[in-house]
Amino acid sequence: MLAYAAGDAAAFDTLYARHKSGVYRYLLRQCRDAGIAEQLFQDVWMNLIRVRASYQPSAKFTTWLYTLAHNRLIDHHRASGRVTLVSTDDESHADIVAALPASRRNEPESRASNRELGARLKDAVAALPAAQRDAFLLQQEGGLTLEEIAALTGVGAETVKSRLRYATNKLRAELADLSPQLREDTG
Amino acid sequence: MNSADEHRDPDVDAAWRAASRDQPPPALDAAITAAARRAVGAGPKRLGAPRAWWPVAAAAVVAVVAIGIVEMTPPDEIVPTEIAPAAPQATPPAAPQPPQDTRRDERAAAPAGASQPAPPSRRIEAPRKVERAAPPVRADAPATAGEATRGTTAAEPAPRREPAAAREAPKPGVPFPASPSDASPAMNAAASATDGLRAMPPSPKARQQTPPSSAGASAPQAPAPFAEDKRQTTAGAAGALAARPEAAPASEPPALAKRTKDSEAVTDEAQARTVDEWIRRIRRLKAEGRNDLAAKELAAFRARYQERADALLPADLRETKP
Repeated sequence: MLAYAAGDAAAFDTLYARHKSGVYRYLLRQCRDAGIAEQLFQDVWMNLIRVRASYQPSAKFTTWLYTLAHNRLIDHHRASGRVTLVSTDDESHADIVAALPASRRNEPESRASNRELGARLKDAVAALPAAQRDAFLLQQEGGLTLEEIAALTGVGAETVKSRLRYATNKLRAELADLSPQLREDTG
Repeated sequence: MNSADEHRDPDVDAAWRAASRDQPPPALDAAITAAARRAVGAGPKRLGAPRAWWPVAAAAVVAVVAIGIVEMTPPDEIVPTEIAPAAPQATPPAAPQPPQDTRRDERAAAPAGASQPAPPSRRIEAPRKVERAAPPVRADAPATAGEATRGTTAAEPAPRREPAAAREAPKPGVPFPASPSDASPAMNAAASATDGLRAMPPSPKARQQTPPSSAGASAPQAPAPFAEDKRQTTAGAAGALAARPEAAPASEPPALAKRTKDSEAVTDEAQARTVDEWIRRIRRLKAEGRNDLAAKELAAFRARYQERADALLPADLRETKP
């Protein structure tokens, strides 16, 4: 990033090739709309280009990049009236968590249409509460550590650890009946 | 493994990696990379221009200041420091042969200047032009009544010519030509004239009694003072325009020629004389037996340079008290 800020256009190509997929998937899984995800994705990278001169390598570039994406996502949710990034493991948010829609796996038509492993997993992630999904996607797509996720989302490390634990348990339960097939497909 | 990895499920991770393979559209990739290149394509050029401009500007400012300082430095501040070391080398042994001493002084002074770097070509050009024009003027000059009455031949205009030479002279750092081959043709001619005189050294008295007409007949047979003056004129770049004042006696009124020798000795123009020229003049006067005039010149020299006079004077003149 420092090289790009100094005027090396090839450095940007390297950064973009390395991180574009993760950022795009992070945004796509969060907003669940390819068109909106592409718009947000472009906004994130344009913002990075615009603020390149003020970049300070105080943290890992990946953390900084996903912070831009996270903030852009929050702005989008605020603009669309959907700010739901709350912690489901926090008792003070119990009412909000209770109001969250149930997993679509219980819907017969959904189960019938999403036979494929990838589709079921994506649905399972989409069914996660927003905060847990956010932590999970930052861990999976961004490769961020627990501390980096905590710094990025502005919560404590223990909170992030709890969110990840909840998310993983839910996904594992969601895919329990597919575990042998999962191991064969991914092994 | 960090703390986040503790909560990772390998099955979930592997399944997610297999399932999540979405990529942004290629058109979006192209648009973003093009925007990135445009952003940095304009930036570095704006930053690069001042970087290339500043060193050139700084060098130009330094050069202008240096040239200005050199041009504004008075030549008097440089003359004593460069002439003084050369003067002791030019000190002749206290020999009783006045004409030979005079020539020896001049020859001793020439190498001192020859060790300095070669002068710029434009400074050599000026003496050549003047020297070509000088002989006709010189031939006519002794015909004036003033010089005939004084009976001092062509050596007498020297006091007026020397200030002019000093005024026209290049900076003291400008040296004599390094070798005879480097000298101008006029300089070589003057040197040959001096060599011719050495073959038949005249006594000072005989030299003073030489009629002016014979001096103007031909350059090699010119009287010693004239030859000396010519050599001084050509040897030093200080003689660039020295011949110009030599033409003055031809057009001056006779009343001006009646000035006494004493009044000529200490004139305002003498103040512009260089140390080397002054020392040579004092020696020449002593060699010609004109000790009173030499003493006055010496006194004038001491008055001009005061406490520095002893340092500037060679040993033989330093001991001579006016």
